[in-house]
Amino acid sequence: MTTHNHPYWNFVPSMKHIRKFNFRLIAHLAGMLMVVMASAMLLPIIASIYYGDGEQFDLILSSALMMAIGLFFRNILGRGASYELHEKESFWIVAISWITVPLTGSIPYLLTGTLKSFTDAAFESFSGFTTTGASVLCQLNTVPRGLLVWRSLTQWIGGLGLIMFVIALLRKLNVGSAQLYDAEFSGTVQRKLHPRISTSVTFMWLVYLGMTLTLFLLLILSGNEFLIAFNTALSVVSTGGFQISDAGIEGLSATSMWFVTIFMFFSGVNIALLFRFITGHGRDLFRSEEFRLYLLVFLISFLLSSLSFILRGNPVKESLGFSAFHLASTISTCGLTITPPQHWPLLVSAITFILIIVGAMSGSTGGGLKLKRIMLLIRYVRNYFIRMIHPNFVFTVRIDKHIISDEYINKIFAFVFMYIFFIVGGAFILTLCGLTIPQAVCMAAANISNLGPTPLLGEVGAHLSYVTLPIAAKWTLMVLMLVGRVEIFAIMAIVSPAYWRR
Amino acid sequence: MNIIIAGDGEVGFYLARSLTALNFNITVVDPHSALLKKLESNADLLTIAGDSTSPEVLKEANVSDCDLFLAVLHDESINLISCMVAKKLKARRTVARVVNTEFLNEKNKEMFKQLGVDEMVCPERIAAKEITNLLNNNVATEFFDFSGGLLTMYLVRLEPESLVVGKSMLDLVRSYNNVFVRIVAVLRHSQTFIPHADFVFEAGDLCYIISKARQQDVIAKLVGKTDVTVNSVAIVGGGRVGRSAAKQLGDHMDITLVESDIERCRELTSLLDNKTTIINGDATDIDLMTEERIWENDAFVAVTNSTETNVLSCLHARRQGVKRTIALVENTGFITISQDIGIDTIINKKLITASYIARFIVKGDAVSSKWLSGTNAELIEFIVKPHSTATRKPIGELALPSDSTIGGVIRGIETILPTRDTQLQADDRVVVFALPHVMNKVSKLFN
Amino acid sequence: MTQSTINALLRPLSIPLMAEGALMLLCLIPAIHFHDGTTIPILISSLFTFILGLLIYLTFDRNREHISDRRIPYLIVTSVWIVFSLFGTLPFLTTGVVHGFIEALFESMSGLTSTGATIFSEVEHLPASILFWRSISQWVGGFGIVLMVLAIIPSLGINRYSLYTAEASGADNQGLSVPVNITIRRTLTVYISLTLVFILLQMASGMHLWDAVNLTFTNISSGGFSIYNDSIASITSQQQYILALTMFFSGINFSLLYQFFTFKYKKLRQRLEQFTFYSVMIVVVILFVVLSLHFHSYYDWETALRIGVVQTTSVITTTGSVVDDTTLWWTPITFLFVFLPLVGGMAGSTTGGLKAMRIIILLRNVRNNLRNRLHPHVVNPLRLNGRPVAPQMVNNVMVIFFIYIVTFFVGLLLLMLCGVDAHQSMGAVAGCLSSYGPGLGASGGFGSYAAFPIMAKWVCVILMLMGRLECLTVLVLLFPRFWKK
Repeated sequence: MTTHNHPYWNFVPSMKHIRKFNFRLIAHLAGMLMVVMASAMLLPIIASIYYGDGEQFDLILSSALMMAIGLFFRNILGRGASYELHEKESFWIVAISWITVPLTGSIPYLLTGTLKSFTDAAFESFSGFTTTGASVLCQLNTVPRGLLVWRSLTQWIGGLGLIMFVIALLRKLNVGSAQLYDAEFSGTVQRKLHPRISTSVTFMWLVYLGMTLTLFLLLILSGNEFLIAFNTALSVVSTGGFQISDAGIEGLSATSMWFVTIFMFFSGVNIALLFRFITGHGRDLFRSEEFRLYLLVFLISFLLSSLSFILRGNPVKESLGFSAFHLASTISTCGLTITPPQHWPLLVSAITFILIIVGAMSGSTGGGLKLKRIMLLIRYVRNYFIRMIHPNFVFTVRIDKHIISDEYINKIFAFVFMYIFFIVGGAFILTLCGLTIPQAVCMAAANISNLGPTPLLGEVGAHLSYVTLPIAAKWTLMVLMLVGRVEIFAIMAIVSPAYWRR
Repeated sequence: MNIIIAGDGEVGFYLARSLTALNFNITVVDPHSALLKKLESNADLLTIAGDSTSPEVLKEANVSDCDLFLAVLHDESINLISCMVAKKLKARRTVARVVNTEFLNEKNKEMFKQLGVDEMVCPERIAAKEITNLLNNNVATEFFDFSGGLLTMYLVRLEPESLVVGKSMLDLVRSYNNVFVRIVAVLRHSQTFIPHADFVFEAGDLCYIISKARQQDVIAKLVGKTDVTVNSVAIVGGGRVGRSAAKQLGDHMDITLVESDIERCRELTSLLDNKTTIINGDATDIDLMTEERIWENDAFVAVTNSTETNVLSCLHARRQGVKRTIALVENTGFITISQDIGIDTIINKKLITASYIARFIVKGDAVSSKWLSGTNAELIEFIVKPHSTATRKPIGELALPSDSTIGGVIRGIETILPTRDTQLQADDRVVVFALPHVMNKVSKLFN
Repeated sequence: MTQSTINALLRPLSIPLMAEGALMLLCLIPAIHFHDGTTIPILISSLFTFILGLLIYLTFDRNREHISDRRIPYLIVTSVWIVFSLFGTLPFLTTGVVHGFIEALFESMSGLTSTGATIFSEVEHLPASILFWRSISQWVGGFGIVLMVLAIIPSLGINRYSLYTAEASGADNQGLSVPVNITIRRTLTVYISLTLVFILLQMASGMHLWDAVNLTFTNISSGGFSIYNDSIASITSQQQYILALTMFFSGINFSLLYQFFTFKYKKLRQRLEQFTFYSVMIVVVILFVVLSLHFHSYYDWETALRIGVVQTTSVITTTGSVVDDTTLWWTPITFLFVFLPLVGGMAGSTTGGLKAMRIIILLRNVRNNLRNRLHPHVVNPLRLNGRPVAPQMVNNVMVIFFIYIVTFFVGLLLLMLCGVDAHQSMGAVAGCLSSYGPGLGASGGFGSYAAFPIMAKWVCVILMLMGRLECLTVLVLLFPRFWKK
């Protein structure tokens, strides 16, 4: 027995009838997350003092401010919150946490004076927490070190998910946390690692932490600066993809680049599968149909891309290295970029664009539509065609031998529809802000899949910077990032009228 | 502790939910994936859709790591096979729900143990046992022993002629200072109250009373019940519950058993001895019941398969003047309303089975608790830890939340009626009644 | 492929061929009237097509056994469209107005699928017979070749309904309480009468018969070919408004129109949801376009209104008539004009795209999904016009949507591989798949697809066919299982 030291249970079904909407719990949890964030500021503060960037007081002040807001939410708005959670609230918790925490996370950018406008600060913060990695900071070498650490931290915490943090921290919150878990993983069916949800989430955090530490140590061992290694590790494992210095990721040595490539690839893998892999159930990983597809998609696009570079007359080594890095970065929606070789083939642009939309594996830190969904839909469509020929053909959609219900397929279809809808809608607003059509579409797609830096589409957008975008465009992109990171339905649910009707 | 529950419906789900709250690691195996989804979203546990006899499925549920395997499906043969398979796959202890009481013989038990089924539970038998207990104990509609019988909790309905009616809690404490009786909670119109000083009792209130063992006569006097011993019982429904109850009660009571199926009646004649009067007829056939003078029995027990029949016939029996009525209610949601409309006691197979199994799981943890029907409050026995807050101040000065109350204290083999001045000591056992939302605060006091 | 399957396939093919030959013969009228010197080539193509059809018809006439194979309708419909467009290239090839076969096929396919994308950068110097052939092919294709044939010859030895659904899988099946052939005849009546009415209207507004016939043919079919280089920009504003009305009607479900014209308002009122969606969409977009034309592109109010109304109707009904150089318009409008044709008009009209009905179903499905999160046990089927839609139908819509998206991306990829830039590729894929026609950049506005590489033209041809037959009918043929016994 763990933290509960009083055994009690309640056999009589809880009286669900007239129960008030649990606003307090929502405020309480959001507040708690802010307090955690404020405490996490300790690291940036230490970095700031150590590197002497002179911003330690601003950082301490921001930490205090965040703490104050957090405590206000947690203890005043959320006073006496009961840990009773229903689906309706679980959507709210996810949505509210993901809106308020990044908003308060923008305080350090403002207080240190690194970013002048609130929009920019919020953009940077949202981009960090949603692991998008789109940045409005320029000349990173002049940015205070402490702030860079904070930026990396936001990615790292957002990578596995704010709600995952809540679940791991709050063992009390057992009933209903399954819904939170679901909402955070955008409803892709996830098998728990352990009967206890908090324990399974803890396992996932351990894998995540382990990966981060391993990459960090490898980078240190291959002779990188401490801060660079730290930021890179956090940026890569969370699939965030913030550039860490003006030199970019290319400042690292060749060996480090390969480490980064490998870790980017694996951060696109389902964490639960990685856990099973690490704990000696390696076969599960290779038996997983989604992982096989992930591998296949990666290898095929790697081959095509390398070939087309080589055929364009680029050196073989450069072609292979760049393709591997670029595609791992794209498929995991990490979004770290390096300068492309000369003569960028259109095929690579096309592959890149498709990978952005497809995205990584479900249950990973990556974004996109997720391969699992695509796989299920393709199987459903194939069956549908067979039924056109054999009207009485009985079909089920299966993945790893599990039968997927039609209802779930319908949900995925609806999800894909909304995804496309948001990309098109977002792109439309971006064109209003003065972008060309391909730029707008790419940018919308890159942000909803939490990739970040606009992918290279031939002549378009190679150096399309986020800095110069109008305010409206930035807020649109923030909405897209959020919608891509948190389950679309959670965000939509709280603004839909059907949700408010009894 | 890792527990796997193989079920196909409510019993399994109840067990799963309740054991989850006790911080066990629960994995539920059940063939209905839609129901599992619902369960998983309401409780913190792992669910696996599949057949519990399949080794593949059990391996998926990590059976080799499980300390307790419970098979509570409706089909006993599936339960037995599941347990055997689970045992072979290294489950530490297995429990099967069975229907056939023959299995429960000592000899057969041994045989099943060798086959891999460590324990067997028969809900019908437990229900029958509960009925027997209730009829033997004629005051309370429900009761529960704490600390091996040193303290007992009774659930009693206040009759209009009760001494307590119209009095406030303060009056009560003043006038009955000498008897060890404490009313810890009152259920009135489906609402739970913890009575404080100015709380006035009304007729019809359901009271949770904690008292020393063997004080039934005092309680009977308090609540206005004449202490009638039940000598004749009418049992409606000759199913397994009815049959077992008839068999157990038959030794010292007159039993009239009403069963609508003539074939079953014939069967029953051979299963029960001649002392039992078996009547073929429908419980809703009032004329027949009157003709057979069913209403003249001391108690009326309705245990047919139909909840509606049970509830309605009990209501009718009560109207006709039967003193004790017990109804078997299958639907857990109806328990509250059934109690509200005046039936003395509700028996629910799922709840008592779950309760029974849960009780013997936590055996050895020395702390027991009791689910209370009709309210979501709990009665819990705490052991006061050394150096806890509770040992520092007398009860009156402890900041005990208002939605909780201390019902009794046991020190060694001595029982103490707690007052404001009582000073708790380490290792005291304290029975606390509390509503769930203050449970956290209460438990902090004793740890 | 058994012998009987081939028989079952060839007989239905012969009739469209004969019909095509007859239609080509019609082109002789302008050829003779305008003395454009194409009489002989047209006559040759016409006779060749007709006689081939007749031969097939006579050879396979005796095979009358009924075939119930589910694959046959898909096979028939797809092959009818392919064969029809292949023979439709004959007038272009024999008169020598094109450089290569693919260009002729592009033009022919674009005509039949009522897409309206053209490879001719100059159309005014084309012979009158060719112009008329382009118009006729759009008029026939807009309604649907197989439906046209079914309306004339009711029995092809195949279940009519399956052919009907294979060609128009998005047809509004609700209200199909009458036999298919009656539905087809009714809609054809509506189609022909609308055509006549609008020709008369145009003539009343002072247009020549020749222009009126051509423009009405291409616009009522939501095709969009024109006989002028600047599409419809140079006709009077009154005539443009009439054309806008023509296009608007082309986007309405024909059986709805039939009920409207036969005064069955009670029935009509029960199925207005799709119409409401369609007209609200048009009005909203018109508002946006007119406002931005006035305030962003500084057109005066009159011009902005006229151009806005005409161009928006043309886009949403996937017609593709162009009234102003849209390539110069504000980017957001261009963007809208890329994606709106993919939505299209109402199901059961001549427009392409996904159709308003499907969009309604998709949106409602999202809403239902949201609601199910809240009330997991609620039984609330998706409704259209108040009546529940079968889950199968919803799935059908989902699948088509998904395939549409995939086709869009694959087409984009292929076009880019052929060396078309991203901007133009996107426009071309949207234009061809939705049967709108004009793309972006050089292929948009008054431009043409002339500059596209040959491979890109092939891709466009396939996209047009898939868009017109709503993907499923074509794609199912690509399944290996389809060809298994």
